Amino acid sequence: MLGWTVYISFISALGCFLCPSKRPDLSRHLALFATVISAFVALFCAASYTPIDGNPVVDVTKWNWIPSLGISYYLAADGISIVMVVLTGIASVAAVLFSWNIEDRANEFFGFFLILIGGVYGVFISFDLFLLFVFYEIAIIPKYFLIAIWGSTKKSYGAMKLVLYSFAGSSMALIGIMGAFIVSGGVSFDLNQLILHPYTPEFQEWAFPVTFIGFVILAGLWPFHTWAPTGHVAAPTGASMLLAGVVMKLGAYGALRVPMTLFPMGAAMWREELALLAGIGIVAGALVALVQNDFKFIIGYSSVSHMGFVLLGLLATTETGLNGAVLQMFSHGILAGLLFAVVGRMIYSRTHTRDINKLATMQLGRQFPFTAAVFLLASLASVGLPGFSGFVAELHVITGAWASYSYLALMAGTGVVIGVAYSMRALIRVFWSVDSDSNRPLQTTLPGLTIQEKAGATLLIITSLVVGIYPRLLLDIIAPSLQSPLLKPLLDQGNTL
Amino acid sequence: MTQLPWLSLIIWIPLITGILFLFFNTAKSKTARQFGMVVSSLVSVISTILWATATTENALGSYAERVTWIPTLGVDYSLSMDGLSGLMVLLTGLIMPFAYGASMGCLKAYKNETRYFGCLLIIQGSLLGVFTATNFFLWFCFYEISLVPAFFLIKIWGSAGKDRSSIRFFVYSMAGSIALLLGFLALAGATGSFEFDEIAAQSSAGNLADLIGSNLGWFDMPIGWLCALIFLLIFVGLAVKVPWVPLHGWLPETYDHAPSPVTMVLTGLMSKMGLYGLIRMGLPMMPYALPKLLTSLLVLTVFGIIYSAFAAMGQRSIKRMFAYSSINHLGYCMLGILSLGVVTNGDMNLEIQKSSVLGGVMLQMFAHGIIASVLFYFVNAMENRIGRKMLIDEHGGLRKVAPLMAGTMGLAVFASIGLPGLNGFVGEFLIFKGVFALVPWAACMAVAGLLITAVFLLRFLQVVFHGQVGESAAKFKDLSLMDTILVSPFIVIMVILGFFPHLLLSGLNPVINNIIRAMQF
Amino acid sequence: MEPLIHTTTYGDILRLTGPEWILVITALVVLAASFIRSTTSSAPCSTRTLTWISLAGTVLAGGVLLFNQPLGIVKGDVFFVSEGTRWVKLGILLLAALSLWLHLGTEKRLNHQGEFHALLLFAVVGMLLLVGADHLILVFIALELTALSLYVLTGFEKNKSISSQTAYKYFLIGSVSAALLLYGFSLIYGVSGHMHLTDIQLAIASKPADSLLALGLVMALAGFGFKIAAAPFHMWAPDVYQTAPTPVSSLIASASKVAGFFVLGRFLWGGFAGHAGSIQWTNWTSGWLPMLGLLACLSMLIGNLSALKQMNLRRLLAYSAVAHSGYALLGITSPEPLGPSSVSFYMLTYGISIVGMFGLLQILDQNGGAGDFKSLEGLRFKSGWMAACLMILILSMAGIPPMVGFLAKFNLFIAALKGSTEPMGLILLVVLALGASAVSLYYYLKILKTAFCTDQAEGDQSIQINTYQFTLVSFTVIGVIILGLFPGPILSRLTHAIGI
Repeated sequence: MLGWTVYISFISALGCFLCPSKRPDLSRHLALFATVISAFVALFCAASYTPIDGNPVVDVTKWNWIPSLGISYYLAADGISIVMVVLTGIASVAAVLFSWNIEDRANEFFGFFLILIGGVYGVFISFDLFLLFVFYEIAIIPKYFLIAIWGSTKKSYGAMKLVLYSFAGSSMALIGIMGAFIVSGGVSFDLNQLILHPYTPEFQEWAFPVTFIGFVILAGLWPFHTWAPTGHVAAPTGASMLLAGVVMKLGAYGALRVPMTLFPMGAAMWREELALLAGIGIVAGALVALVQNDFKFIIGYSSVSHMGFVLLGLLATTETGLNGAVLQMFSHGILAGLLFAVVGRMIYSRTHTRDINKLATMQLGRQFPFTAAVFLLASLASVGLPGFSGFVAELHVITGAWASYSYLALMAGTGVVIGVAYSMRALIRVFWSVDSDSNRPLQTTLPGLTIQEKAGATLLIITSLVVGIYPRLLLDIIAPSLQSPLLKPLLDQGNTL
Repeated sequence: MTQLPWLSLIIWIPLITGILFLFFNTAKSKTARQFGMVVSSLVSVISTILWATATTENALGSYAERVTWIPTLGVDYSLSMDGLSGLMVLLTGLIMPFAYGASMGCLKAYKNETRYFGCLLIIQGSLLGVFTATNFFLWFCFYEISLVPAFFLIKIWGSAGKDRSSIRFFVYSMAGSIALLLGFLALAGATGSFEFDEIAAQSSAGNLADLIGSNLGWFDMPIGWLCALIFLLIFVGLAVKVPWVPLHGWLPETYDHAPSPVTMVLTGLMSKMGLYGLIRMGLPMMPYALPKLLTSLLVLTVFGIIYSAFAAMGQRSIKRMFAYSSINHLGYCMLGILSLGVVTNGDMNLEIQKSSVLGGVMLQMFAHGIIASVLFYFVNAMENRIGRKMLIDEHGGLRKVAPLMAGTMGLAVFASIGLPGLNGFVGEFLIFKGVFALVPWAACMAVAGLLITAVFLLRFLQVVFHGQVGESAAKFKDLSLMDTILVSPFIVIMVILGFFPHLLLSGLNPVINNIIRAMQF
Repeated sequence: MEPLIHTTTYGDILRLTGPEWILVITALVVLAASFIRSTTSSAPCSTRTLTWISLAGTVLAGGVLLFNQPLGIVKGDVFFVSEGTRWVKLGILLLAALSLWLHLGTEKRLNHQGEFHALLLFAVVGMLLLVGADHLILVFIALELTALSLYVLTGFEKNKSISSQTAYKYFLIGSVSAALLLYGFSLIYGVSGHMHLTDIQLAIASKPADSLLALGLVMALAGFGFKIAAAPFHMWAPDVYQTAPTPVSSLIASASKVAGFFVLGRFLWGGFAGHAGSIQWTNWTSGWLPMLGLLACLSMLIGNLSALKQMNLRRLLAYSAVAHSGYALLGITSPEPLGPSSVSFYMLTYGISIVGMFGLLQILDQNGGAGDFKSLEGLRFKSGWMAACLMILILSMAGIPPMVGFLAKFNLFIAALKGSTEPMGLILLVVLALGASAVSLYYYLKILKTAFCTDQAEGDQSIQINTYQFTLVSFTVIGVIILGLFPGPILSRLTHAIGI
C-alpha cells in the first residue's frame, strides 16, 4: 500500500508531462489530485501501522531486482519512515497549493515536482540501500530544473550549486554504501542483512564520517550548508517549500538510516566533532539570518539553523535525542514550508521584491493581516513556541543533548535566542514597520490572498499545532522504532557515553 | 473520578473562548464582549471557590489531575493546587475581570475589540495554567502562550511607541524563557523528571548535586559551579519577567505604551509568574548554588531597589512612575527570595525567620498584584478623562473636582507605601523582619528604598490631588458608578487583609513549611 | 548449445567465424550493388538500399550468433568463441546496426556509398575478430582492420579540407600507436617466446619481473590506450568526433570501444595476470595495474576537466568519452568474471546512449545547428520529445538512476572494489571516479540547461525529424530506461557467460 505513494507520484508526473502546456489548469489539478491521494495513502498507512511480532520494520514489497548484485526492490517502513512519509504527504499538498500561480510551462513544473516527490517518498520507504540511493538520486535532478527554469535571483547559479553539492554528497554516501556491501561479503544490499555483519572499528572509523557527511550535506551541516540558502532563494516557492521541507530531511534521514545504523562504533568515535559542527551551524545560521536584508535569505539561513537541531539530536545518540531529531524533521518540514510560502508566494509574488527595507514601506501588515499572523505563528513555532511542534521537538533535542554534550545544549539555546531576534526583526520590518503603523491610507493595493494560499497555510499551521499539542501522535510511532534491531547498537553506543 | 476536572475547566474555558474570539471578529462585538465578560467572571468565581475549598494539607495539592502526555520525555499533563497556587489563582480571578471591566470603559480606543477581549481571555486561561501546572513542560507551555496575546495587546492596541516596546517586551521575555528552558532542562536531565515535586524531593534529599555531577559532568567543571550556572540560567530567565534590575530594560516603556488595562495584567499578574516560578523552580536549586552567588545577587537586588525608587522619583509620566515603583516593590520580593539562600546550619531561629520571609514574599506578591492593578486602573481612568497620556505635574487639585477618586486612590497609594493597616504593610514587614535577621546589611540598605518610595508617592498625591486646580482639570469627572463598582471590592480587600493577613497566611503555612523544611542546609 | 569444437578443418573455422563471414559477404554484396545501382539511377534511393542491405547482413550475423553459433577454439588458440564473446559480439552488432540505422536517417548524401558501407562493415568484422582473438598477431591484424577502415571513413567527406585533415591526423596518431603496439608485442614475444596469451602466461609465470617485458607492456598499453582513447593518448578523439560523418563517429564511440576494452581486459588478465602488481592503497607493488590505474586517473581527470570548457557538443562528447574510458579502466583492474562483464556491460550501455546522442546531434545539424550549444537553445519548445530524449540520454551518461548509466557505473565500481585481493583496496580510485562524475554533472547539466531553461524565442519552429532518426533516438532512450529498470536478466547472463 505504502508503495503507491511512489507509484502515484511517478505516474502522475508522466501524466503532467503529457498534459498540453497551454492548459496549466489540467496539470495543476492532476498534481493536486496526486499529492492529495498520496497524502491520504500516507496517512492511512500511518494510522494502520502496527509492528508485526514486535519488529517495527514492516515489509511492503520485496522482489529480487538485480540478483547478481544482491539488490532487491525492498520497500518497507518503520515508524521513522512512516513519520517522514506523512510529512512528505502534507508538505507536498501544501506545496502544490502554493504553486497554483505557475502559468508558464505548468505541465513541466508539476511533472518535475511530482518526480521529486516520488523520489522523496521512495527514499523514506526503501530498506535496500541501493534502492534508497536510486531514489535519493532521482530526487536530485528535478530540483535543478525546478530552480533553473522557474526560479528567481541567480537561478542558474543556485540550481547548479545545489545539484553539485547534492551530487557530491550522494557520491560520498555511495562510497559508504558500497563499502558496507563489499566488506560484508558482497551478498546483499538489504539493510536487515547488512547490519548483521560486524564491521571492524578500523573500517567504521573512516566509513562513518564519509557516509555521514555525504548524507548531511543535503541536511545543511555547517560548513557544507552554503548550497542551502542560495538554492532556497533561487527556487520558486513550491520548490523551496519542498527543498527545505522534505529534501533537507532526506539527508538527515539518510544519515540516520545508513551510517548511524550500520556503523554505530564509527558514530561513537566521531559524534562529538560532528555534533560540534551541528552546534556551530545552529548559531552561525541564526547569526547570518540576523543580518540578511533579503527576506528569503533570512528564512534560508534559519533553515540551516533549524536543521542543526536535527543533526544535534541525531548525534546525541540517545533515545530522547533521536526522538527529537525525527520530530524536528517533521516540525521543520511543516514550518519551513510555511515560511517559504509566506515569503515566496504570499509576499514576493505580489510585491516583486524581497528587500525587507523596501517591503517596510508597503504597509503589508495592514494589507495582509492573515499573512502577518501566519508568519508570526510560523516563525515563532519554528523557534519553539509551546503548543506548536517546534517546541516539543527542540525540547527533546536539547534534553537529549544535555545528557551528551551540555555545552552544545547551551549553544543550541543561544541559537534559539538569536532565532527569536531574527524572526522578530523580519516580522517587524516587513509587516509592522513604522511606515505602515501610521493611520495614513494604503499607498498601494496588492492582490488579495487566494483560497489556495489560505488553505495551504491553514493546513500547515493546524498540522504543526496538532503535533505540538499532542506529540504522541508521532512519538507513539517513532519511539518503538528506536528499539528495533536496526538502531539498538547505536543506542547502546550512546548509553556508554 | 467523581470530581470534575475543575482546574482544566478554568484553564481551557477562557483559553478556547479567547481563541474563538480571534476568529470571529464579527459586527456583533457587543454581544461577544459581554459574553467574554461573563466567561471571565464565571471562571473567576470558580477560581475563588476552588481557592476557598482547597484542602491545602494534601501533599499533592487539591484538585490534582494527571494524564500521561509525552512519555518519551516523561512529561505529564498534571495540574494541582496547593496554597501558593491557590493564592495566585485567587489573584488571577480577582484581577482579570477587573482588567476586562477597565477595558470596557475605554472601548472607543479599540478597533477589533472582539480580538482584544479574546487576547485577554487567552491570558487569563494561560495564567491559570501557569499557576496550577506541576509539570515544567506544561507550565512552560502556558508561560509562553501568555506571551503571545500580551504581545499583540501591546503591539496593536498600545499607544505611540508601541512597536518598539512590544518587540522589546517580546524579545526580553523570549530570551529569558530560553535561559530558563535551558536551565530547567539541565535539571530535568539530571533528575530525569519534569515534575516540580520530584525535583524538590531530590533537592531536599540532598541528591541534586550528585545527580548533576553524574549525569551532566561537563569537562572538569566543578559541580558547584555547574549548579551555580544552572541556577543562574533559571534565575535570570525568571527574573526578566519580574523584573529584576539589570534585566528590567523592557519594563518602563512597555508598561507605558501598553493599554492601561493590559498594564494592569502585566504588573498585577504576569510579573508574578516570574516570582512564582522562582519559588517553584529556583528554591530547590538554591542550596546547591546560592553560596557562590548570594552576595553578588543581593548587591544587585539592593541596588535595584534603590535605583528603581530614584528612577520613579524622576519620572514625569505617571504610568512610568508606577512602573518603576512596581520594580521597586517586587524588588523586595526578590530580596526576600534570595535571602532564603543564606546558610543557617540548622539554626532554628533563622529557620523561623526564613518562614517569615517566605510568607512575606507571598503576601507581598498578592498585595502588589492588587495594589498595582488598582493604581493602574486609576491611571487608566485619568487618561480616559483627559483623552491622552497624563503627566504628573499637568494637573493639580483634582481632589476638589474628583473627591471620590482622590480618596480611593489615596488609599491605594498608602497601601503601596506600606502603611500599617493596609495590605501592603504586612508583606513588607514580614520580609524586612526576616531579612534583618538573615542578611542585615542588605536589609539596612534596602530600607532606604522604602523611604524614597514614600517620598515620591506622597509627592504624587500632593501634586496631583492637592494644590491649585488647573484650568484643564475643571471638567475632570469623578469616578463613575461603574468605576466605583469595580474598584470598591479591591479597596475593601486592601483594608481587610491589612488587618487580617492570616486569612491568606493560614492557607499558605503548609506550603511555606514544606519549602523551608526542604531547604534546610 | 552446440558442443565445443576444437578444430583444424576449414569447415569448422567457417562455422566458428560465421558472423564475420556473413558481414564480409554483405560488404562485398554492397560493393557490387553500389556499382549496379549507380549506373541506373541517382544516388539517394540507392544509398538507402545499400544501408538496408548492410543492416540485413548485420541482423543476419546477429541471428546466426544468437541461434546457430557453435562454441569452440581454433586449433592453436588463435581464435575462440565462448559464451562471453558471443554476447559481446551481439552487443557490437547491435551498436553497429544502430549506427547503420543512423546512416539511414542521414539526409546529407556522400559519394561512394558502396565503399562507405563496405568499409563500415569491414570495421565491424575487425571488431568481431578482435573480441575472439587469443593470439597477438590476430589481435594486431583485427585492430588494424578496424583502424584502417575507420581512418578512411573518418575522411570520407573528402571535399571538406577539415575532414581530410582530421583523417590524416587520426591516421598518423593511429599508425604510431600501431607501431608501438607491434613493438610491444614483439618484445613480449621476445621475452616469453610465445604469441598465445595462455602460453605467454605460462611462460612468464615463473620468471621474475623483466625490464624488457615491462617495456613491452608499456608499449602495448600505450597502443591500446590510443584505441580506446584513454588519456594521455586521446588527442585524436575530439577532432574525429567533430568532423567524421555522424554514423562513423557513433561507431567509433560505441562498438569499437566495446571491442577495444574487451580485448584489453583479456590481453592483460589472460597473458599477464602474474605481473599485475597491485594498486591497493595499503599495498603498492609494481606491475601493469599501476599503469592502468594511472591511465584511468588521467582519463577521468583530463576528460572531465577538458569537457568543462568545450563549446562544441561533439568535442564535449569526445572528452566525456575519454572520461568514460577512465571509469571503464577501473573495471579492467578486476579479473574475470566481474571485470570483463562489468566493463562490457558498461561500454555496451554507454554505446547505446552515445549512439542516441549522435542521432540527436544529427537532427540538430540537419536543422541548421552548428553543433555548438546554441543549436540546443529552445529545444524544449521545438520538440518536447527530443528534449526529453536528450535529458534521459544525458542523465544516463552522467550516471543518474534510474537510467542504466548509473547501474553500469555502479556495477563497475563494485567490480573494482570486489576484484582486488583485499576488499575496498581500490577505494581511492573509486573515490576519484565518483568525484570526477560529480564534476561531469556540471557540463551535462549545462547541456540540459541550454535545452530546457532558455526562454521561448520568437520564431522558433518545430524541428524536422525523419522517421529513422525518431525511431533511433526513441529506441536508445527506451533501451536506456528499460535496461536501467530491469538490468537483472542481461547483467546476470553476461556475468554468467563471461564466467564460463
